[in-house]
Amino acid sequence: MKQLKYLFEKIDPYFKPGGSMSRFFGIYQATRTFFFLPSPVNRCAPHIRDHLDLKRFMSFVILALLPVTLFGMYNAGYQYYLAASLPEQIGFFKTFTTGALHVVPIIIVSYTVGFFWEILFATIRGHEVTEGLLVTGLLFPLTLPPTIPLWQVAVGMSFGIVIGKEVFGGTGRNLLNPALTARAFIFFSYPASMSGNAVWRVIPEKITEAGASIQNGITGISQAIPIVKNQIDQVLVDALSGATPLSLGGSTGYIEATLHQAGFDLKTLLTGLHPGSIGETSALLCFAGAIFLMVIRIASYRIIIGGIAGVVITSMIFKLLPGPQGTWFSAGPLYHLFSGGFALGISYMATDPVSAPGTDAGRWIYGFLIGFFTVLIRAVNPAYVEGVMLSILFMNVFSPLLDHITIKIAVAKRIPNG
Amino acid sequence: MADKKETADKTELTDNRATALNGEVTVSTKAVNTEADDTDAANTKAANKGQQAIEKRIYALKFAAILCLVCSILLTGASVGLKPLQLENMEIDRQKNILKAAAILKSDANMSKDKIKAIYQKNIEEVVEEKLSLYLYKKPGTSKIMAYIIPIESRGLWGKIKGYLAVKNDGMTIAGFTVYSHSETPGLGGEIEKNWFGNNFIGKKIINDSGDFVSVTIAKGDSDDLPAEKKEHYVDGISGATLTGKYLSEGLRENLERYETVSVKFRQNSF
Amino acid sequence: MTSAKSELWQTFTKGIWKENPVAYQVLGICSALAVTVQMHTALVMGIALTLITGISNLIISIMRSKIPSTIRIIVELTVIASLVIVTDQILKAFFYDISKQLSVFVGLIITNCIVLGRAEAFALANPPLPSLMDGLGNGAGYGLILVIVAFIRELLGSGKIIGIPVIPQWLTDAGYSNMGLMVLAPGAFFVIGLLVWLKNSLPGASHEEKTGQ
Repeated sequence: MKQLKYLFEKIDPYFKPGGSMSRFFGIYQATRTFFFLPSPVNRCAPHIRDHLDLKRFMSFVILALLPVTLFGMYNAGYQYYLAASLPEQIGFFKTFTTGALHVVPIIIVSYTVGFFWEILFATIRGHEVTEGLLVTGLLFPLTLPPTIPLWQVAVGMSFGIVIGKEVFGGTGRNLLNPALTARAFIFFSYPASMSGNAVWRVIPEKITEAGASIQNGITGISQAIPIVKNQIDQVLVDALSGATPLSLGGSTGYIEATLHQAGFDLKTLLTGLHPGSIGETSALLCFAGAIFLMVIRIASYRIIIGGIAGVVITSMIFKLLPGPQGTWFSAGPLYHLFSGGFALGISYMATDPVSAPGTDAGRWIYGFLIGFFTVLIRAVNPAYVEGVMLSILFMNVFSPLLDHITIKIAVAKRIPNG
Repeated sequence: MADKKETADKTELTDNRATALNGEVTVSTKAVNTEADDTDAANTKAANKGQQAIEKRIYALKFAAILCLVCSILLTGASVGLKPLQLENMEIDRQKNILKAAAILKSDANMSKDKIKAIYQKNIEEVVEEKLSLYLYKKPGTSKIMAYIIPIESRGLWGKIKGYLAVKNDGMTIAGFTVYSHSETPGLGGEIEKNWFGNNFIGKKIINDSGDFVSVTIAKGDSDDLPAEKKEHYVDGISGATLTGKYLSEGLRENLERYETVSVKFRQNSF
Repeated sequence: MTSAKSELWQTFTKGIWKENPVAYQVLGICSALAVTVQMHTALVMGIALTLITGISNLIISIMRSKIPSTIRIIVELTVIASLVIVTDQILKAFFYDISKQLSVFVGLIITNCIVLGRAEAFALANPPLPSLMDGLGNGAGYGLILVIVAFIRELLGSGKIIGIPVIPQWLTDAGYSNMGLMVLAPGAFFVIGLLVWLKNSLPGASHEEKTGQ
């Protein structure tokens, strides 16, 4: 560590204004503050004694995201082997590494592309490389299905960083959450890789000999009959269609019965071993991360609780209303809370301090309306089953207005001086 | 005339004011006199202005009238002169879509108007049967009906879907399907206008083995995955466009049901 | 003589680049979103608008001393509307397929701010020839942006250029797919925004903004 510090001090002058490498100050600064706290302090009041600068702040969010990410990898592997009807034969470790093999490249591409744009803009504009990207680069992959083509990840991330953030002036000035902007772009640009039943689970391209023979054992097909590819496909399709809970809304009968029949009871939804976006399946881990962030006061509890209240109240009202029983219109509050991306969205994306309102009252309303719109979109809009992304982006746009109104009201209430 | 009256009114007014100013009558009489002179001049000016304004207004009206006349003559001329061409274009467009549905024309074929017209006249005959209008595809030169084409209008996810469905002369096998107007999501529901989707329909049956009407339905996913007895009545769905498929299936069923009386005739060979 | 000529030329080019109606004046955005999915519709729309703006400017400039100021907007609109309807009729008669794709947007040229804006801002105060050049220049500027936007949208959204597929098969086999957003209207918003950004960051492109005026 000491040597590292010495090294930084040695090359420091080259990057200072006037130095031969001052053009790349941003990159240098970013690398240095990654290891060490920046030394400059405020010279005049107010002084805040806190080690939580933006970089540490973001590190804690990453820490809270880690369990979700790791579980996402495990689930991707689990779904992979489930598709081949072999989850029991495969050990935990192998399942995890298989999943990681599919998930890690997505994360790597996301970070690489993100840093490329961030560094490009920092160099052109001559400011520091900012840390917001650390979270964006991880959040974005978590909202994607594990089968997403890597080039689409790159295109989406470029859009999210450039249009979602840099055109507004970079970190801290963005109107929309960049990760969700990126996801929305992919969602509307490449709908075939983001919707339907086929994309939420990595399906093995061909089942190995060993797998096939195990399968024969299970299904009771005699070893003598040669396995035709079609038969395996048939088994694959029959095993599970790969539908997400939210996509089951269109069918007839009662929604809860439909969900149960497809294997989505509350426990599965809570623990998260079901198909879905990489990070969204485990509501339990998402909410655990949210509690961690609330305890260390990074995420605003007002937004999260407001959001949960919004979902619960809206979905209860919908349940009481006479509506189509087979759709998410009449799924109860618990199903709404635990399925889809709500847990991930409200915990990590709605609480993004830049795109959320800064006033307390504004936060309550913001959170509540996110919950309300999520249920509204899920229940009433037939085409875009996942309402969380759209409702958060929608409320992002309104958050300056919420702040403005809150402050106006506060000013009006004030007793004038003298 | 009007001017004089106005001047008179104004002087009266000034007089009234003069009497109102009791104490200073003598002083004000003089003032009134000079004032009256002033008002006179002002009044004439105002009157001139008023007249000018009226003249301006009349000019504007005249201008507008002439402009409208010129424009409307121009527009009527253009509309009347180009009407036959436009009607012909619309007619050919309709004929092209019908020919596509009957698979007489390749859907990406680029043909001249006359050629399309010729092909259409050779192959298609428009009839009204049981108060339903439909198009018959007859083999050129003979009176043998190969297929009949019915117009389809269905609800879609975002708007109306319009197309044509061709059924073979056995009254149960679909010969082709095209969509010529829709507003579905490009890449998802919008795929219904693509060739592969229309080609899916070819050879599917609208009645089952026991002869009951079952229509043709868009499957969720591949129709190959369905059990054999269903395969005949299902076409491949579009991934991610379940609802477009659902509405289009409903629309097809409604339209085919309406035309069922005609189809029955074809099945009994009594057409 | 030469200076008069170059002045005319300048009036023309100003509309195309420096004071481009879409990228600089931000006019005509609505139709720019709607007709730029394919290049040939954009091209036809650009040509139609160029002709209409040019001719309406010419007519209004000729009449400029006769037009009563009280009804000048209505007069301008009548002239423009007549031209638009005639254009629409001609398209329907001779280019039916394209007019079907352009649907209402030819008719909506009437409401396109560029035409009325040029008539009001330029033609009413200038002699016929410069007015004609101004109209043509602005129309061409609009058409230019339309064609650029349509090129990007058609290439990325449908994999085609002027209706000819250009994405090679091996790329599709490798997993490439078209960007659906580009076919939707928001895609045009992003492309136009990026174009304005590009134009403003080019040196000397927007003098006023750089000097802080």
